[in-house]
Amino acid sequence: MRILEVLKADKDSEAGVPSTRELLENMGRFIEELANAGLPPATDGLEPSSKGAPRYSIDRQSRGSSGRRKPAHK
Amino acid sequence: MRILGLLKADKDSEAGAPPSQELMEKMGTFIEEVTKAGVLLATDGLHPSSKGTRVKLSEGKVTVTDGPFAETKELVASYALFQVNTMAEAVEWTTRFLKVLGEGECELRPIFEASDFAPEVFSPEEAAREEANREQMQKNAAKQ
Repeated sequence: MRILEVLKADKDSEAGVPSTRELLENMGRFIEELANAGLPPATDGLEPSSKGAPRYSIDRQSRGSSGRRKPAHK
Repeated sequence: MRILGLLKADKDSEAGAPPSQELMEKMGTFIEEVTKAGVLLATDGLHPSSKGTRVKLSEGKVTVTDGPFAETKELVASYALFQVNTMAEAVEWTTRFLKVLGEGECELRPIFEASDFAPEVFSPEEAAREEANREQMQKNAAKQ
């Protein structure tokens, strides 16, 4: 089975506090161990949400006739 | 640049309500288009958080908690990995995806690339190791 692991952000990751060389080396070694054990298929770090696009949402009013059928909710 | 798109969960996705056949076909057609455009690298839907688990390490203590988790708005229902030139391109594709769904909210986050790190922090040796890791990861993925 495949499983997606999502690491939660914290103050440091959101502040874009840079990783230290030691941390990157430790992570690299650990990821190497996992990769050689056959997992994971992929892993990446995300830039802080300050670099994210504004969240994009579409509300029910702009929905076409073939949208998902859902009960109205907030 | 690579960008990760995360579709937020909602009551339906958390209830494990399956999409209609019509919606599956529309999604399939759209995913085919984004893939052929060379933009979509990977995408998957996630089971509801009732099938999920959280692992936390804090102050030396490990806690493992099984879902479901309460804060639906903070949960992820699916992801998509994009290869684009600008964030605006990713926003455009995501907008079209949301119109296929009818409604929803996606968060788009740029992915750190090796070039984002100073060489004192991310040495050439580490960069070489990362490349080897990614090659191995691709082999792992191909074995699925």
